[in-house]
Amino acid sequence: MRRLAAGLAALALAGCATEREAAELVLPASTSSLADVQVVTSPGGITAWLVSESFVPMISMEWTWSGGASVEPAGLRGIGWVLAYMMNEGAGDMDTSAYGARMEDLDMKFACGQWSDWTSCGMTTLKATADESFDMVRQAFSSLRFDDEPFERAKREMIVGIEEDETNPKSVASTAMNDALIPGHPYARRSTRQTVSAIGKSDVRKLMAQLMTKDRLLVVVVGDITAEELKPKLDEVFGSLPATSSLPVVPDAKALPAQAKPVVKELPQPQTLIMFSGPGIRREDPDFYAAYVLNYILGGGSFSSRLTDDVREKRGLTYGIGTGLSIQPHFWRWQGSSATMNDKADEVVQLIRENIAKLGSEGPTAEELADAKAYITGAFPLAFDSNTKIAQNLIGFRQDGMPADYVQVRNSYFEAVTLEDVKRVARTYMKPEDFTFVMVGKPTD
Amino acid sequence: MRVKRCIAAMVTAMAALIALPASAQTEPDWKPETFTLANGLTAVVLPDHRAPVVTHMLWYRVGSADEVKGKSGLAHFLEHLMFKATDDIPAGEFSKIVARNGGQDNAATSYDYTTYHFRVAKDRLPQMMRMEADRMVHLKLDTEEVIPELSVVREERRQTVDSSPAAILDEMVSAQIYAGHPYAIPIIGHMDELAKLSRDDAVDWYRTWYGPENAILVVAGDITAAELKPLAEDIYGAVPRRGDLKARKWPPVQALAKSVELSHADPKVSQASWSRTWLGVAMGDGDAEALQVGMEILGGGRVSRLYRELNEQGRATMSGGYSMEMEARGIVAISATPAPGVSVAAIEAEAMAVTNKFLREGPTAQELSRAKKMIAASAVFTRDNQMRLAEWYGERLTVGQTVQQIEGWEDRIRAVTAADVMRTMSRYLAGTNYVDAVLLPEAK
Repeated sequence: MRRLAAGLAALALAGCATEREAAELVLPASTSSLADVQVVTSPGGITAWLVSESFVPMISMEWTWSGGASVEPAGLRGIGWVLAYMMNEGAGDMDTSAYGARMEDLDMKFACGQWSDWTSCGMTTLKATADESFDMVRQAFSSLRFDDEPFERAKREMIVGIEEDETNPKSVASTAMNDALIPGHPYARRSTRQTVSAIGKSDVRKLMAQLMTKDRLLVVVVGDITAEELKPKLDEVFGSLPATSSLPVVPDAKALPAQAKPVVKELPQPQTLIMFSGPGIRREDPDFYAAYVLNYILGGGSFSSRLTDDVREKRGLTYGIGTGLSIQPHFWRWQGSSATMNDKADEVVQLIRENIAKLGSEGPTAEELADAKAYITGAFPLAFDSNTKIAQNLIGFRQDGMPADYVQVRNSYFEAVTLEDVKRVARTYMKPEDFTFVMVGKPTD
Repeated sequence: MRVKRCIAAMVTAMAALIALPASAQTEPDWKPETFTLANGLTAVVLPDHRAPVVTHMLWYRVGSADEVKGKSGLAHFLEHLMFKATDDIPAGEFSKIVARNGGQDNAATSYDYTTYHFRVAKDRLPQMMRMEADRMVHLKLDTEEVIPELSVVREERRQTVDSSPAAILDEMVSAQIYAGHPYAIPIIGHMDELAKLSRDDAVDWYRTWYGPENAILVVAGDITAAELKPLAEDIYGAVPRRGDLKARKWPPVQALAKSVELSHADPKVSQASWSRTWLGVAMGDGDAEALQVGMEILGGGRVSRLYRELNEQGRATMSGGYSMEMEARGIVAISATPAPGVSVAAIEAEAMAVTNKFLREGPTAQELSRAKKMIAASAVFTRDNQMRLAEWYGERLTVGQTVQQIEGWEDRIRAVTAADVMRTMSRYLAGTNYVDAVLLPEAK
């Protein structure tokens, strides 16, 4: 029998994306390019990033305003969620049923959502119905209705969601972590039945006028539309928004010192969810790219990380373990999570601490660095294989304050990361005593 | 955190995708290309040149429903073990090699199939294909690799089923609606049976089911059949036909003689919910499209009958309905979560009143045209995502549909009449062969 995989072992050891096995048959590197971003400014002064792409007859638009849950009045926590909910619940002469039916007739999708620091919307339409779909969004911003039925429905659903969160392991863990680290900060504030019940329509209208303004707006459009076609649409959709407004300034959060023992929240289930959080790094920090690479080595690579190797592959203690850099504008953390059967929870926490300590004292190897860079740069194009994904990624780059050519230069920042850089970052951040652990489940069983 | 390599709960995962299909021929000359190798492996190419990447999926026509009694979870366990080692790939290196090449890999097991995929830059495809072909015949299973992986799968069960009251109830529903058929057994397996699976079980499974004649290749993305075919012939074509693979044999799905009521109480449930599940249609059944259209109108979205009558009236905070197709027979289900102050009994009565009214009166002309147009338009949105498109084709090809049948789906949706909807809805949603399931809070 012919051996199919001759040379695979050598390939495995090569460990670098640039050293490729000579194959009998090869495919040429593609001539397709990644998103070609144009910066388009409308006559009315609205700027959008546009990727004009006609393969699929559809258009995706993503847009976001700076300002999210953290700017809500404390007594009305949840109001931003209600505002986002209302955005597709009726506008102009269309009540909720008529607006929903019209969206389906147009085969369009339009919805908004709220995060800690951002309020974001997305719209996807077929090319054939684009004019009508843009007009639906225009009406939502120029003549949003606040009919009683959807308004009460939004509040009702939010209260049910709050109750479900009380027994949802992830929500319980996040809440406990915030309480342990940044009690009282706007990021740690929670909506309750009382705050949601207190929300009135005039409060929501006021927030809309403060939040959904031109100076806070970032827009990305991807799909079957040209710059000249888009310009008038931008003015049509966003022209009615107020130019500016002021909202409360959110202070940077300062974390309390890490607790020596895990915070335990009991929940009746056979597994314990473990969440951990230590000091992180700002997006603007020059060491951000080195930290990102280091995180891949610690727990960011799905099947290629120290934690996955040790806790999942070697010991079979979990179905998943991962870490990430959380880079909120006012709080930046190195965090991760895993889940294991209750009586192994202490052991997994210990293993996480040991892996962090080892990485901090020894740093990663040159081979780990090469592997991490090969994946991070090589997999970047995978984020650009659909219009919807391109739009979502580009809006993320805009939120991070990146320039329009970031797609083209991004990999060069990672390629420039040296072993010295990651070792320095490892020494600074990989200190197990700086990490706070939360356990949700019955870890004492 | 998103953990991968296996989605045991394919039933619930797929239910959400049921209206997101297809074959929209967006560019006039766009069409799938197919070829078959001499060893029986079938290939389909779905070109999309927007980004310099490809999604490569290899589907095996074996799933958890092919397991023998007492060995539940074996199909999915072997799926995990396929990432371990071959004679040429050292233990634990498979996914790392993929990652070093800028690729992502994962796999999934369903009742009907097991599928492996990677997404990678086009010029790395040949190497990845060599690895995929290698593990088609040369999987190496050492006990020291197998034992920890069994623990991983048991943790997966604890995470995805045993810690989720809704998933526990879903297992109970499947056990009843499919009583006497292998679909009654959970894909991830029963915990006690999982604990007893061995290396020998895994090796037997691999030898019984894995080979080129039982595989279907779907490649979507920046590639043409002219480019893929010589590679596939060289790499997969060199794997000899096994010739002795087992043929799938299942007993027929039997309708329940009378309805069953199930409930599961759990302290982690804050809001009660109710669902009713009937037997549905097999993939490719002539009733499939009419049932999809009917369920879209009844419970598909925010202009559906259930949403308007329950959610907008303050009676429910969630409601929905769907039809899911599988190789043997799928299911049709509706569900509702009562609003605070509304009882489960009341929401059941109200949801069934809405359903029965729809069965009696059928759709309005506007509802029918809107639902058909919307389902058909979802084809365009599916075409936007090469992974989803590859899944749509792979899932159907694996259960025996042809590319022509898959491409005809939109036309079949457009051809559905009001009479078709009434006939099929009455056929599948009437009668007593259903399972009611209630999820209840429990005093803490």
